[in-house]
Amino acid sequence: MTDRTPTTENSNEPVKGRSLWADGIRRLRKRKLAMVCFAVVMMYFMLAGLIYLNEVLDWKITLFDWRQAVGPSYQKPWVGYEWTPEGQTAPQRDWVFFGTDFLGQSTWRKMIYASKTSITVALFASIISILIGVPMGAVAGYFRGWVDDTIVWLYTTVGTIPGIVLIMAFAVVLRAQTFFGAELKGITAVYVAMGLTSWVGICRLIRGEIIKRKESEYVLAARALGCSNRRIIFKHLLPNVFHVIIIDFSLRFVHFIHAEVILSFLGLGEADKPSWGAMIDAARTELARNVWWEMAAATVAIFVVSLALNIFGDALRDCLDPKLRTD
Amino acid sequence: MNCRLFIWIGLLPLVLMPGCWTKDAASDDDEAVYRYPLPTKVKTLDTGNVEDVYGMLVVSNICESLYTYHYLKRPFEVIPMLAESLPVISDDKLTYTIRIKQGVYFQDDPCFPGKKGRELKAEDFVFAFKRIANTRYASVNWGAFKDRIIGLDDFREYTKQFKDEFEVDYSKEVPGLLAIDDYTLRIRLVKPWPQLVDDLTSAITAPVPKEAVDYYRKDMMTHPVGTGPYRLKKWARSVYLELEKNPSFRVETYPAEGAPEDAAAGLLADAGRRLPFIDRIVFQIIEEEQPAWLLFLRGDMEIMGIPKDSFNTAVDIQAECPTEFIQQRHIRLSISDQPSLYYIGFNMQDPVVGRNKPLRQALNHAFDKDKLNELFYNGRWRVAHSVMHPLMNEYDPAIAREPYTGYDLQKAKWLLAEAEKIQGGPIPELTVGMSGSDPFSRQFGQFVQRQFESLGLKVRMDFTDWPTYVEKMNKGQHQIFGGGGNRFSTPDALGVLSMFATKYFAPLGNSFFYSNPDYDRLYDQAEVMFPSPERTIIFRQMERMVLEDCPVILNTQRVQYILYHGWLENYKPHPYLYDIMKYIRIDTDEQKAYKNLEKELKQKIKP
Amino acid sequence: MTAYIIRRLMYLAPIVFGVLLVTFVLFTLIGGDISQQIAGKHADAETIAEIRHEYGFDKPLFVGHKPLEGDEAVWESEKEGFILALKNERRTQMEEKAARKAEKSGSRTIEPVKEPQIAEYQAKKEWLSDLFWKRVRDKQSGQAWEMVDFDSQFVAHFTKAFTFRFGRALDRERIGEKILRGIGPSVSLTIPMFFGTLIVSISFALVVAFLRGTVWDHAIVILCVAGMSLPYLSFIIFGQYFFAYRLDWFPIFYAPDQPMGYSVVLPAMIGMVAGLGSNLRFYRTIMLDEIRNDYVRTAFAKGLTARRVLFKHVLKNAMIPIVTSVVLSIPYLILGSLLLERFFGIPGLGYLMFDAVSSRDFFVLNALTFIEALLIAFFTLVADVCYAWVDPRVKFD
Repeated sequence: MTDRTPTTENSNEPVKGRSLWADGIRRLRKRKLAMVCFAVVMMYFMLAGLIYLNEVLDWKITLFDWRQAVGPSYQKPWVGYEWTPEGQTAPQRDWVFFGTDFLGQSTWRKMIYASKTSITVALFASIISILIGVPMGAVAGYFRGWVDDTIVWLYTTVGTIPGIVLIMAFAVVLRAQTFFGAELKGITAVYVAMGLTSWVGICRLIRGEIIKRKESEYVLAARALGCSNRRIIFKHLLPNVFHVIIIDFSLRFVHFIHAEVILSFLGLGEADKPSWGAMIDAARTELARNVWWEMAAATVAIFVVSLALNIFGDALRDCLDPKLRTD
Repeated sequence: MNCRLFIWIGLLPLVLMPGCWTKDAASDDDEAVYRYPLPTKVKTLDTGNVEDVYGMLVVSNICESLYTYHYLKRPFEVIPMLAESLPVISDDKLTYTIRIKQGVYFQDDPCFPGKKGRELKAEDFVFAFKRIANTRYASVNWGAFKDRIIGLDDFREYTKQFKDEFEVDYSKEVPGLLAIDDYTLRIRLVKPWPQLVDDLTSAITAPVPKEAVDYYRKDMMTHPVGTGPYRLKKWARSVYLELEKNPSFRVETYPAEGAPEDAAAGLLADAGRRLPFIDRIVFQIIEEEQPAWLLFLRGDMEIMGIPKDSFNTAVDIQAECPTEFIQQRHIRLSISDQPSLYYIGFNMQDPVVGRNKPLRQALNHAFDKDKLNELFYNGRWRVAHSVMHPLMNEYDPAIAREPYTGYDLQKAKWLLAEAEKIQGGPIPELTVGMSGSDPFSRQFGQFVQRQFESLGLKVRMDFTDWPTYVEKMNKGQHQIFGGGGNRFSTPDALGVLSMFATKYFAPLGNSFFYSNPDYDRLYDQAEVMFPSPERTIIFRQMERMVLEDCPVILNTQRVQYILYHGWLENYKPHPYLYDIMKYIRIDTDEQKAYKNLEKELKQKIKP
Repeated sequence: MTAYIIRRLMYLAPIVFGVLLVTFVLFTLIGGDISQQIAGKHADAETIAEIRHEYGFDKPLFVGHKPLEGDEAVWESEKEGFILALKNERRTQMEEKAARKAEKSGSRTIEPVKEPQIAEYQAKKEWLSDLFWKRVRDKQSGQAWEMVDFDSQFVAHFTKAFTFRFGRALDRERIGEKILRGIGPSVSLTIPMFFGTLIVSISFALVVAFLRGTVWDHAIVILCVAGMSLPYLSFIIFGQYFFAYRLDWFPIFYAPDQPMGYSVVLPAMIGMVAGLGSNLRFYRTIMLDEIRNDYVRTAFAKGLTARRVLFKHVLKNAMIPIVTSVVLSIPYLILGSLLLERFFGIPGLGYLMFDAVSSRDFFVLNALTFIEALLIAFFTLVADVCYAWVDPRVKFD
């Protein structure tokens, strides 16, 4: 098969003192915009982590308590208002940053909380797809022969089925199924479905990279020294194609975040916790009463993280794999 | 630099686009078209297998049944439709003799010889009933006929030996279901069936010509053949359905009498005129409320329920009247009760909630129905106090003051303490099953969760799609299920009470798996009773039994707020009647004038 | 070249097999028996059993049985279609069989062959005739016909797919009809959308390639990335709300009594705008890849004008990846757009898929997945062949 998408065409470069990584990171540091984007992405990750910790350790941080009613139903953003919280008699003055939803919950807090959902889905989906795709690609590229044929057949098959169809089919079928005692529900089914369907790209990439590298001197040397195949693949070859994994990861992440939105809309995502997809979906009916802030909040949140990831991912690709440079 | 080329290439799509954007003027003639938004897809138009409201709404215009309700009279009165008169009932209430109108013809259809519809015969009813009993036909409506008619259950047994529905020999006689001659049908019952005449108003019991089944076989579902005022013109699955006037429809006239206020409302102006008035009915399937609402405002739909989020633009809730916005457009509002019940059900077989009455009661009292009504139905539905609907004769208005329902957090907390004693420790996490994951069900689920959590309980929502939800409900796998709703198709309250009888365990209707021997005894007793004061006493007794045992949290009962355009005449809502379209007349001139009116109003708003 | 095409065609076989395997695992093994949900809310056990039979859930999963062997059937052509008639041998065969069975079990009485049994056989034949329709039609009437009766869900899954007779959906409409009906609306939405995007993004890509390195270039790249970062759903919801609802420029929803083009304008435009970012970036990369080539440098060195270089050389060479990507997009064009169709009520295949997902209609999902995979496999092949044909560097080994 010929690969038409503009992807890797790396050959082994002569090493000039600095390692590929150090070189890449030095180049990356020079790009101010990319570093800002990296900081933004890290912020989202930290937020998701903090929300997790908050739940596990029960810190009771108000910002993450999205369930609390902070005002009347569908309160406009920015505007001060008076309301009587449940269980109290005296009305109090209040103000919310991004308005409230139908239960009087703060849209701002929901938006922040939803980052956990999205990041979790995207992260786990990426991890699953990498865990499946990378070893398979490496094994196929290294051993060739029937192993290669089988794996190529497998990924061509999966790749032949349109992605969205496959994800949906998986998500529908996996929902409410029990595997090894664990019931797949909500976002678990979503990221398992995404992970199981999206390893094809990375598998293909890694296979190509390994094929290119397996005849290079260091591999030949390792083989001459009597290293086992496993050692050669995991100790020598994979670290050398690690940057490909990282680049793929950063670009695929955006894709997963967007897919989560669509799956939430299709009713296959998280249902009883906020998610950006659910928030946008709610706007379908809310826009009619001029409630635009829930959709706006979720859109902005997705926009910022995707933009940052896109820019950072591009920069990463340019810096780690200069031959791929497109700008 | 070749800038021109860029521009041309860039403009190309814009040039091409309007080419395919020409409105046709086909809809401009004087035809009266009634356009109705259907919020869900119609599954089947085969009368024997229709079960949902919207299927009934469509098919009732095509296939008629023996009886129907009077369009205008209140309280609801059963009148003959295909029958000549009300049935002659024997003294033991077990034999019904029904005369059928002569000279009623089926719609012209390719299934008949010469494509001409033949005359309706009593045998067609016998065939339709036997068909529902046929196991291989797998009718969803069999439950209504089970253990009722002499020999019909045996016929069902007999059909089991066949592998295919079309091999069954329908000439095998059922003693309780006989066509004595072409125009007389005799039904003999195993035990009294007081609701029979009410049940015979349903399109499920419509006559089916055997020719049609032999001709269309499995495709019967897309080719309904009936005697009704309309016939199916086109059905694009999941998009729209179009019915056209049946040219061979018998002479039927608009009713000349009605409820006292009808004359003043102009509902009797058309008295004696031949039905139907409308030439075509178009049901467009629009699952989202917003597009349907917009089409309605544009004048592209005749009638529309008000979407939750547009309620304030349409109705002034204080004054209970349409807003100025609506009045300017000559749109009229109709408010009507719909006998229905929405609830949250407990699975009585569940080890936690099933055995713990105080827990169920605590949850019941912790659930703020008024707030629910306010948030989701703009405060316009009825808050339910009883399983029976106020429109039903046996409804006891006193029940609202009794302590069965009502929001009382203090009491709920006290009951919860009781419940914990029975449980022998804190209550474990409760799971509430909800169907659907559209914004509405999600919001509803969150609301339910908040309400239960206000007791300090841990509650998990389990959102599933509708099929899974139903499957879990029928198998008793929910702990609590949140999306319960029933719409009652007859005025008799027995149907409501059957929801709690042991013999109607899910999938038949008792999804709670509520089983109470005392209740069952009373039910068996009441089942064969004709309406009487004694029966009312039993009904009320049963009602209180259910409320005391609390297998269900009653939420709301629907009140329909329907908007319809000024050009729609003779509209009067009827909760049990599906084929009201044949009574409705459209003023086509006013309909055309609306587009201009809308344009004017829009321009007025803009500056 | 021919050998190459043939080899590639042969390579399709394992892929098709693989796709069928995947769909079988998904929809039959994991998805399982959904007769309960087909039967509806108030169905009793008998009804469910009947439905299980109808949809074939009562068949064994893998290992089939061969209850009827070597029978012959005659097909007769009649006005209304083909109606199966059985030879009289059938009856004698069944009688013999019953006799043998009775002998084995030691009982004396031989059960007479019942009419229903013959009828059952006939029904089965009819069901099979569904699968072998084509073959029967070719042979016309009177031909003896060998019966293949290896009756398991696995086999049924394959036979269904290969004969394109997917049976009936949950709502008992024929799936084939559903799909055929959906293609028109889907295509009339996606084709203007796709070519609109293509033309706009290629023209812009040329401009950008020409302006590379300038502020405009950077601005457009940033805009592209920004466009890519906005969720698709937001585009649709906002577009529908603003242009159809607020401004009232376009229809809000599919109007069945209007020509398709009327309903399709707004969704197609929204789709174009939403897809512009990623497309423009993709084509810009292709253009830049070309511009960096030596022949471009040579052309410039020769003193050709920028315009000439761009149109005569760059665009011509960039056509190869562009055409390939167009060919590869054809299956997706047929599939339609799930979200756009859902929001604007366009009754295409995307809408069908949405319905199938929300009603858990595995039969429809299965059929759609298979057909779509087949199309993709086929058009990948076409693209590869085109590529090989155009590009002399590709070797046919």
